[in-house]
Amino acid sequence: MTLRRAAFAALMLSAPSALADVTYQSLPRTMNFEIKLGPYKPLIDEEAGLTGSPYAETFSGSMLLFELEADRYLWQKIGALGVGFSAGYAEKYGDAFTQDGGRTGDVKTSLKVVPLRLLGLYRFDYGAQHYGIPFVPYVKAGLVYTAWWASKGASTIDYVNGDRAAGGKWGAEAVFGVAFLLDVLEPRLAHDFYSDIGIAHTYLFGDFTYAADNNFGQAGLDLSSKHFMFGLSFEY
Amino acid sequence: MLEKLALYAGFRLATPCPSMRALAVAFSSLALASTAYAQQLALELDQNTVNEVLGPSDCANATQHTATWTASLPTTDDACTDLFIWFAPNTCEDLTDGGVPGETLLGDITNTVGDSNDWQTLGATPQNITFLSQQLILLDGGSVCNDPNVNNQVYALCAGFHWAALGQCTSTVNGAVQTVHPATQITVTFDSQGPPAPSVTASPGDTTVTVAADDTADTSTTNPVISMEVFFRATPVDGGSVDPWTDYGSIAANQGSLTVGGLADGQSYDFACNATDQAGNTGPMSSPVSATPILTDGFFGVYLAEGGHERGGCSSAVGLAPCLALTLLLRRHRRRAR
Repeated sequence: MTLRRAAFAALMLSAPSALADVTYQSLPRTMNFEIKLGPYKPLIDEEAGLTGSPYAETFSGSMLLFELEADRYLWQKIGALGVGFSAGYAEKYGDAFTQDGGRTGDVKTSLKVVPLRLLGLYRFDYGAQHYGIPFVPYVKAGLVYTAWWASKGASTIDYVNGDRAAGGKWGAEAVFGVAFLLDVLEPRLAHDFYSDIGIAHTYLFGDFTYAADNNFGQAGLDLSSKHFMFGLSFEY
Repeated sequence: MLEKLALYAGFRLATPCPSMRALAVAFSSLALASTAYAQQLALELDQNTVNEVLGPSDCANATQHTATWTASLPTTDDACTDLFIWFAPNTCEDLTDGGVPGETLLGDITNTVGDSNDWQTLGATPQNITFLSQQLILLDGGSVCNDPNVNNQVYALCAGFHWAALGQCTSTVNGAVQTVHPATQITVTFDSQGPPAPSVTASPGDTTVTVAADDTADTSTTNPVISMEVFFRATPVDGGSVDPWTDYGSIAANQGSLTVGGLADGQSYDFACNATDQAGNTGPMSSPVSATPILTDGFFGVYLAEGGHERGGCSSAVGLAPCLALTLLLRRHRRRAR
């Protein structure tokens, strides 16, 4: 902890000197593009009425969720207010179960998800724009639709007693995060980035997502999750 | 008083048959003892060399090939020299008048001064000469066609100048001849032996068995295995009837495995493969291996068995569009996979 605090203090002390060369305050930015990764573990096993933990028994771990997001800023005065859309993909494979309860590596089963999100967002980057404070907190909230399908063996979509292992779930979600303005570390490079390809700011960010993705409480596969995501964002 | 006289020759073969299309040839750096003349004769021809493999099926199929040649001569000193194209067993030996058994003259292009059909005139542009694959196979009377144990019998397509002595023109293949020997020649290999049986393993799945075949027992480089056929049948029961083999499909050489689907869980099946080489010979069937597809549950089966309420499908009218779009995507993916 001591080491972390020292590193953080050094970062904060160095930032103002680095920011002396930074003239980003007036840079126009209307869009934000994010690329992010994070562990995603749907809360399938929390569905009411389940006698076991099918997700944990089959896969026993988180998926790696990859997402791309594009945001459009609609209002920029004290921070930025906008809307965004994201699409992602995650999959998890495991061995199928034999009838005696064992596992067989000869047959694989999988769960795959494609979360689509429509979000409203607010980024409090007033400090970054006017005072060089490199940390930008933000919140997002909106709707999520997660398409899912499960496979077994050579079947892209498994069928069990006529039930098709594929569908989609609607839900709502909220995201809380903090972005770190990378421009303060390399102001000259950041300036070149803007003049060459128009990217005004680059951020490293981490956020926490709470998604209630179970058709608003209906019975069925619960793809709700509480997960962290980390990535890079580019404002332009 | 023949001194060094070099001839360079090469042929490019083209054929409408894909398996034969690869027959492209080069003859190059052909050296011939010559006279005191320091002149160099040269034939400028294609430099590609590809060998071809024929099998018993080619004995009956009259596949036509076309060899293309060009030639040039920097001097007219040797205007009487004919250009010959011929087949020979094994390698391009001296062309003699009816001499080496098995030699077959394919073309004799004269070099009569002033004749528009002489090789100097013709050779300025690519010239085609056609032949049939059967002509090579039948060089020795076609005995190989009835011999199931021919292992890589080689035939050569040769080219060169027929040469008596300086200033002594020969209009026939008689006389004291010198014949060019191509450093690189067309070789056509006849093989009637099938490749060895591949080794086979079978891994059971749910209503499926994945069959992997390994053809590394075949060490032939001139006539390698190109595919392996997968067969299966229900494992015979002692005293019961034996089902015939069902041909399920093929595995390309070095391509690994094939999943046999539509099988019954709990039923034992035999699987075997045989290999086919480039010449079209099919080897013996491998020893059968047995595997029994097993009934399994995937994630969704476990979920339902443990009381899950999900029944799949698009969950609401609003969700219909993305759900249907995904369904269509998956169906296209599945069709491509087939």
